[in-house]
Amino acid sequence: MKQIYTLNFAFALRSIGSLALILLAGTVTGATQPPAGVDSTRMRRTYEVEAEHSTDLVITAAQLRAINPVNLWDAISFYEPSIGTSWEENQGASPLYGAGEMTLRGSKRWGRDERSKPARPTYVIDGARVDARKFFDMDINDVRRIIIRKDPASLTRYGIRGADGVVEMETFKPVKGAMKIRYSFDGVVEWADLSSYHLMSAAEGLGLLQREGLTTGSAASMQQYLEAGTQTDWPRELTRTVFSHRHKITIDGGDDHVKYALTGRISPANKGVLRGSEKEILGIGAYIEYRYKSFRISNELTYDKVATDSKLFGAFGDYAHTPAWLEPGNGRGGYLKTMGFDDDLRKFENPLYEMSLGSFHRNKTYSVFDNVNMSLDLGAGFALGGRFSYVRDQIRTDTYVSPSSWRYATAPAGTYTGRYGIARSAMQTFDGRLALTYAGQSGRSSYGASLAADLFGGVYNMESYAGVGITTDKMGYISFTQSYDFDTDPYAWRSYDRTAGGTLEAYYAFDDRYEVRASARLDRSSLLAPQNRTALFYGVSVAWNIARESFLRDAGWLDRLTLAAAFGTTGAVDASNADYVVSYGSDIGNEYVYNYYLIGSSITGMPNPSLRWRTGVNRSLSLQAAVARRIDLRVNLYWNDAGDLLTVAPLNQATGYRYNASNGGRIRNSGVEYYLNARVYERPGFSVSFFTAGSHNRNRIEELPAYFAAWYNAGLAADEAPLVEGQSVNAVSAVPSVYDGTVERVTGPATIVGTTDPDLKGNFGVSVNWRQLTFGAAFDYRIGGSIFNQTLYDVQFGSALQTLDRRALQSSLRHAFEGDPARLSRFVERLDALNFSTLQVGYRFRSQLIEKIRLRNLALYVTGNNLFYRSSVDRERGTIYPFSRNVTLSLRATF
Amino acid sequence: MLLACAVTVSCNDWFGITPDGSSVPEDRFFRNENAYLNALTDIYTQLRAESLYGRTLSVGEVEFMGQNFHPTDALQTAAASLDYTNATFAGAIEQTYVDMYRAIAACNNLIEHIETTRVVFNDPDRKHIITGELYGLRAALHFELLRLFHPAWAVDPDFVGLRYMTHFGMTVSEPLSTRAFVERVLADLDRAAEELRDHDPIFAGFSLSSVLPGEIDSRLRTFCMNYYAVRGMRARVCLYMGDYIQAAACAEEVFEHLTLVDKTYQLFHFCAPGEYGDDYSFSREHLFGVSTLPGGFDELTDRLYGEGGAVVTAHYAGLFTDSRDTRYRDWFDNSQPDRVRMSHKFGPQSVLSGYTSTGGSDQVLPCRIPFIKLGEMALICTEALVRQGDADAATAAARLVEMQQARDVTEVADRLTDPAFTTDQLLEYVEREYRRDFFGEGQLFHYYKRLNRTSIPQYDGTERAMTAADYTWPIPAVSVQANQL
Repeated sequence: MKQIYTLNFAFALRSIGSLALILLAGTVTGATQPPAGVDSTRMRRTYEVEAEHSTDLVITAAQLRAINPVNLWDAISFYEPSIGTSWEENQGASPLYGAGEMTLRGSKRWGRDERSKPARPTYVIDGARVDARKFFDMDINDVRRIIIRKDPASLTRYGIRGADGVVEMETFKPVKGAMKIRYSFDGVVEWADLSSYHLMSAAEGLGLLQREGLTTGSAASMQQYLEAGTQTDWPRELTRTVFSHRHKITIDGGDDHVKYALTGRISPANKGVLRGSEKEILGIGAYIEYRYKSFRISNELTYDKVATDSKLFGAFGDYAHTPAWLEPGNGRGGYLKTMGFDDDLRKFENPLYEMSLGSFHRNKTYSVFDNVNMSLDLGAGFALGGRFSYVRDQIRTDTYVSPSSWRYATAPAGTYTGRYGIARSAMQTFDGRLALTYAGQSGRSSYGASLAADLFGGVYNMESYAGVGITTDKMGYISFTQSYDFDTDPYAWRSYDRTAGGTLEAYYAFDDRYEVRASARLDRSSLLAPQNRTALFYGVSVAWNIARESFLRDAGWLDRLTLAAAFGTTGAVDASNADYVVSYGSDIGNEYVYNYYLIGSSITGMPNPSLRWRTGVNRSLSLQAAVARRIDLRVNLYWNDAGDLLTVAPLNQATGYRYNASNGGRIRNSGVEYYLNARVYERPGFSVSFFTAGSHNRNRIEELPAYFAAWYNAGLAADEAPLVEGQSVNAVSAVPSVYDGTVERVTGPATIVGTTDPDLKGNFGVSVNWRQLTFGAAFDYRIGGSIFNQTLYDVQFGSALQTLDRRALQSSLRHAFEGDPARLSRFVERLDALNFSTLQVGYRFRSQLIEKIRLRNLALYVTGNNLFYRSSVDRERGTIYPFSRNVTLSLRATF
Repeated sequence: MLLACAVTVSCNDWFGITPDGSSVPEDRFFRNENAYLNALTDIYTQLRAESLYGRTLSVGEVEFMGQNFHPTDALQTAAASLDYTNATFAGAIEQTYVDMYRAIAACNNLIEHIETTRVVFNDPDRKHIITGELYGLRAALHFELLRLFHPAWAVDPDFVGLRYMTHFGMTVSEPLSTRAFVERVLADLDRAAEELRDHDPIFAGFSLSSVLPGEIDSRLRTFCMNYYAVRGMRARVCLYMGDYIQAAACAEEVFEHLTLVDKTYQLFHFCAPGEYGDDYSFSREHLFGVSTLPGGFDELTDRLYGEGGAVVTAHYAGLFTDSRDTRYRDWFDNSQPDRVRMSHKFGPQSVLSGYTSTGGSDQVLPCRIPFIKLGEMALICTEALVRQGDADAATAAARLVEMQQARDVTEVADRLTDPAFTTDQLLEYVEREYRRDFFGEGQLFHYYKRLNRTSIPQYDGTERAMTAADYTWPIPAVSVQANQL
């Protein structure tokens, strides 16, 4: 066993090249020149044919830049309409959260599972698997292409990592030429988008209190507030307009044998629109590639440091609702610690005071990434490719709550105030792959096959502990604490991911007309249950290029008309190790004999050692047409089944347990996606293009085990909808009510009133090129689907002691209600939204002009992002961190 | 080839790595000998759950089924009326069933590990003690289920119902008949006795030397299933099945502790009047009792039997013929003769005698739940000797007299002076002692059931005719409705 391990490790280290990746994974790792001995045109065609007829989405660097020159997340989620989430997110433009939750082609798990551990696609950079955080912290200028894998046959290759989709990034590699120095600069002016906050004024708020027969605490304090007439605009106090800049320099060049690139990027102290938040990025990278006859080897090493800092620990929405009649200043140029008179019912935290303290929440991430690729052409169509990657991320989070903070204002004397918490987490992964490929041709047919083996080993761990008892505000470090925090025990976990697998693929194409591909993947992983460690997946796709048929071959106007169908299985692991094996946990508080220190360790639950992974059975049909070199249309239809989901199944009580984890259920996502690019007008020096894309996904629970449904629905949280066979996983449930003019009452039990899935979601835009100028405008939209309007809920049930939305002044929206606050169906509204995502003007300087200052290339862009947002639902957006609008000035120069 | 290497060769150890965090997978947990003690301690902790000995099987439902108290709420009424169809009571029965089997499952997993472990225990005795306690617990917990869910031996020894679980997992074994089940119980008890016989520190009594964490504390042996508790359980089981010779022999063996060990170091003995201080539950008589936490069991019994709690029924009147009886004086609040409550026996003022906790601010331990007592051994001795047939009243009653002496009562001793005192009459006195000594402990119902009484005195004063169905708890069906969570 030890021998096998070293053997595997040895081959991984002996990485030999990535030709297989070029041919089969469809990822071009930058080698624009295939090794000698293989017909480059044929190879390229094979790859292009694959990309053409698969339903994967390819986004080029130019497309990304046209939408957002700095934010990779916004750019990618703009293009792929099947990505769910951004609209309802409350994280806004938080620099602390680079990546939101992304689901491709519908939700595949139960709502509660999604909430506790959201499913994310697998993120891959140049073939190496990375964390979502690292993926979205990459510099957008490094990205050559993004490929979003949704095609059934493509996902098969990813085995147990494929069911939630894959997002691949290919980075730029240097090309042959003299040494070039590229410099890019982005200056961003950003301000908060508070258009969704319509808060009452102080006078209106106090008036509401009086109308409802309440006071802030006593008639005297009410009188003082009314007389003082203070009006504090909290959302504006807490947000700011910021200017931030980022720079990147790349030096690259090379010849037929050696190519190199050195990069450095810095984005110093990028402030966020919420006061106190900022993010800083520093990165350096080195790439070197060497070619000798039919052998090629390249190594890329990058080091990144990302640091974020924030000073407010609460949610922006909560601070925004602080009463407007409170005065934050203490009259002497400083801030009050607690706002409110002594006899007030409720006293409020003063976020401006909190921000003036030494408290912080700092996060530093250090990431090292090394990627070695080798390829060797063996002749006669055979090639050997290998890759080895190493990723090491270290994250350190320091949280310091100052002893002067409002949290300790009412702490009894003698308790420790001030808290310093440290959380450290690290991940280290080794990833290796070796592939043998064959490509051949005879007559009008071309064929090929590949066999690949890969090995992945990852270690992930986290530890956190905290100390309390810091005496003054300025001593913000763990060494100044006096004892461990007794309210939060030190906490740690360690987990591992060891997966080995092999892929076998083959393809056959005839006359560029017919093509068939098949692939199979075998995975063996430590993430799977001991009795079910090996998983097998397979996929097949066929394509028919109708345009090359005899009856259409001569139609000059039709460049391509391809009909393709694909079928594939893929998988994902949702269960954790405690679901497979018996685990013991201790309950420190449950001592057997009082004060004799006999602590028991109990079994955490009945495991299921033959638990299976979640399977995905995907089918798709697509039609692609390219007409008159002007119009490019793609329509994809898909039917994806997610099966063997994590459920609970009953057990005989004599086992000691009523149920344990099991597999069951099936969720179907079916839908259609369309992508249209049209060059509407073309003339030398002037062209106008129009693009649009959209998707519609229908999510339906096809099978739901009865016991699991009863168990799940018995333990619903307030905002969870029940699982019902035939309904969507993203259903919204609410309670009907009736308002008779004086009081509103509930008229029935909670029912499903809609789903958060949109009917149609997509984008559209136009781009114009006129000589050196480019102009682009892009919108994204969403039609249909419901959302629970939390603001209306707060308007009805929120306490008048805070500043509420202005609609609280309307008696039709805020009135007496009989019973406990409930999620009423009148709060569920249909969400149609339109976001003006990008407005961009660019200018590329003519070479004659810039040659004089020894520049090869110079381009300037001004981009406005998220300039307006309109939706059918009037609700506060960005309740954790505000959304923002920005204008960016970008400069791209090559020396 | 690489594919074959990486995938088909079962490099199980490489793929078998497990994460750790707030819980530890068992293969990693059991690499240390202290883990076994921790896991065993957890089983005892489970026993004091309210669905097990923390309420239902001791002072709660089963005690109300014995008709000693007037029920005050719906659940107690259902229990006292033996109404197994009542939804709340049926729910409590199902909860007891699941929780008991969960404790048994924990025993089973631990037995599997300790039998096959390669960990070397520093003190070889420890391994035997832990193994012995596990087998003892498994047998005792199964027996508890048997005497609740199966009809009495006298009624139908071939009734098939419960499963004797010896393996932790998702599958259950076949249901067994009472005969086969009892055989398994006895086999486990004998195995436990074998393990504990040469290793249990109880033979030496308790020593006052200090104990390190992780070591088995000789002072706490009666908090665990020690050797004498195992023998006591065997006596109880043998009496249940009618093997009177074995029952008497095992019960007698328990009394050896009183002769082997000096009075100061005995872990259990009869509590003589004036000796027990505030220990109103007479914890020194327990062969094995389940420990409780402050604010748990004592508060519960206060709610059940204290001010505003259940009042004794008509059986109480005339039960304690001697007002010097320590039980009469110390267990009950007799201030209002028509509203007598058992407010002191397990009440908040009752503390364990002779134990001071090793740390913390409280010096004494809260009262303990009796599992099996020395008093029961005396009664088993007497009853078994009588039912064997070849002993006279005086020999048979020897232990009973000793027990009554500790209660400051001379009832049977006085009767023995009468030469016409028959063994049948002696049995009546045994029954009286069952009623007295086990007041509030949930054992009276089992006495009626074992003897298959055709009618029992009900809480409202009437006589209730009993059928086998009345005596037997229905075995819960597999819950497919998921509404019992």
